[in-house]
Amino acid sequence: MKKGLALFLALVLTLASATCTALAEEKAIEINWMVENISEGERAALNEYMIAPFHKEFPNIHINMLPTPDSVNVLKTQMAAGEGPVLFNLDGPTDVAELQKSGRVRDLTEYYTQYGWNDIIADWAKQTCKFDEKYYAIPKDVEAMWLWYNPTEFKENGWTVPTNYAELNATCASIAQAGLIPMAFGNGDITYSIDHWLSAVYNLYSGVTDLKAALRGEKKWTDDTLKGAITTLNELWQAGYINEKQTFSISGDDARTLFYTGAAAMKMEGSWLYPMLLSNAEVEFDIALFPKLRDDVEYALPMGLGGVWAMNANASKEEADAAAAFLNFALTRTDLHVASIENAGLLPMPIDLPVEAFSKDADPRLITMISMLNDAQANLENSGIVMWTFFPPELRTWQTSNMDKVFLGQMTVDEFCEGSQEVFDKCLADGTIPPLP
Amino acid sequence: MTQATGLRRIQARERGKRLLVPLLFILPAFVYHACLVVLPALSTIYMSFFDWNGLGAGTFVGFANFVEIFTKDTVFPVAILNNLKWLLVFMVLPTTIGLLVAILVSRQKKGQLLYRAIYFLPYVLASIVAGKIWSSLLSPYFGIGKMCKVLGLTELGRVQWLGNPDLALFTVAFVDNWHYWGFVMVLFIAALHQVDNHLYEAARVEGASKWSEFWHVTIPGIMPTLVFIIMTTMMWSFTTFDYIWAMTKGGPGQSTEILSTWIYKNAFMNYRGGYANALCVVQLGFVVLVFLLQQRLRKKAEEF
Repeated sequence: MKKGLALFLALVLTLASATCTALAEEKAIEINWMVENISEGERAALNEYMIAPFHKEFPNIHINMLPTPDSVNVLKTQMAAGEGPVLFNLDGPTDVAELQKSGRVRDLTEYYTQYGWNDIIADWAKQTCKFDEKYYAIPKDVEAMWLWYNPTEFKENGWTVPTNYAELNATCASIAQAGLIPMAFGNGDITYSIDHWLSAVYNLYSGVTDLKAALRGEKKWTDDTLKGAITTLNELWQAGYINEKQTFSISGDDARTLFYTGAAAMKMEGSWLYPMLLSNAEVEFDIALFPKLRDDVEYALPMGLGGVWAMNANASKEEADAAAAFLNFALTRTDLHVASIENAGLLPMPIDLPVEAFSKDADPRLITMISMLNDAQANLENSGIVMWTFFPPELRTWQTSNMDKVFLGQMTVDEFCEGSQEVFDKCLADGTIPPLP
Repeated sequence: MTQATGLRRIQARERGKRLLVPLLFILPAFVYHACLVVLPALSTIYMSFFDWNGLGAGTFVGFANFVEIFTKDTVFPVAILNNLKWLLVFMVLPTTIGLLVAILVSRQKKGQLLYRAIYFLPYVLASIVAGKIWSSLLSPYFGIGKMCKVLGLTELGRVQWLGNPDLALFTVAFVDNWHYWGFVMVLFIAALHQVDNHLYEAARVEGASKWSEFWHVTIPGIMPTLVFIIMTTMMWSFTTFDYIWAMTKGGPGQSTEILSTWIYKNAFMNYRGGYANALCVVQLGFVVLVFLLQQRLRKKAEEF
């Protein structure tokens, strides 16, 4: 009898547990998250510092990260067919604007309110995701353009980090004389990466005030300060200071290798170079602000968003809630975020990240970067802006396609500026200018 | 019902079957082609009349996109000119090299298969991979440039194969040709094997020189293949994309910009799907022209 009862109870328990498991499995929501074709290191870091801890806390939500080459174009194709993942990364607000116009991205305003993201995310960053008074994306990471240099070479040769145009020219000339490449840069594979340089010269020659005025349509792209920026960039290129005028012959990665191996003494590139340098540099490296290119201009760190998170308009309420829970986890677990920056070199989010949050053993170069980014975000009036976040896409494509022609003497600086104005007028009429900080 | 009527019905049914069965066999391919080629092509033509960002609903703008292409677009004529340069290179080089090497290889009694395999090998390499490898080889710092500098050929080492706007298009064309001519050679070898040996023997008996043999026997014998290669090369020249995208993305400046890269940039970088579709229609127009030309030449070749 006892045996029978025990068997009966065991059967009941087994059935009950099986039913519970089935129910739990039924409730589990899988969220596909399309990300760029990120490196193995970045995938591991995202898994370690975001996805795995989230799964632990929310076992019923499964985040399925989908690294995809050319992800934005793949996404656009999927969306045009009414498909696509629930959650995805976009390059920046310009992509959000186009997707929003077509009704492809979900309005996230309710989650901003529900989770209090308005208080968490830096105002300048979230404004770039706002269209028709609604939020359609969440700013993902902040990046800025820096001057990376080889301190060993600088010390051995008695060079100092340049702080203005005259010093930059003198340092570059000395570096070239020493048989090194002054500033490594290659855009043979990604022609539009000249936007790094255009961002730098517009901020540091034209100045933020004039640049923003031009983007608001209050100043012309042919005005002296804006034209001067292009002239200055052309002068630097013609002098051979930007990769010995061989920029079209090498890829971005090849140019980085020149800096990693010490063949180039400096490199002007964004924050994303930091983790690459940690993994690949065979020489010492340090970080500084890129010099001001005109004496009477205020210093501005060219800053922008490295990307945004957005949700598919086709996602169900349940899926959107789950994805929002994941994003909220990422935005609020600053301990994990700080660890991911410190240990894996991930880029910082536009949230409050005081230097004190980082450990005492943190790389001083990283601390310098975080500290300067914090300063820039605290002083938005004077903070610089980058092309890929704040320029209308058509103007960006036009300028990046035609700057090469200026370098090659196929187009004059005047023609470049006049052409920019023409394209900008069209963008202004079409209303494709992203909101400015 | 008379016997004759019954017979007629049976014959009609048989005729119907004879007509229907082949159509049923063609049906899957027809449906496939209609869904994946005809409908998208019609959609391309339709969307070329819209201002469309490639995602949502477009706004009808009539012929505005076409007007812009032919009156305002400064890149379009550059792209067409580059396509024509590309066409010229590909009309001459792979055809000439492919034919000459095919003649030499087809005369080999031993090791013919090995030669064919070796020359054909680049064709099986993915174009993006080959493009990236050649980009590295042509780098002034890591590839041929460095090798030339080590060998003391400093000036040659400084040549910017992909960075010089006068050279870039021809450099990429060289790399594409490196990949393509082996395929052309294989087609010519197949055609050469079809030429009747008795014709050569007859020509020799008549005292024909090697050149006469080539001109009066070989060329007429392979004429349909020759026309096919030239015409497909012409059509491909207008739709080529992969090597240029892998190696230069249309730069420096717009020195390697072709119609396909300009279409891609408009569709996927500028959010101008409608305009890109209009460019596609223009591109289609060029290809159709070439196709019609091919048809005429093919008929002439058959008469030759």
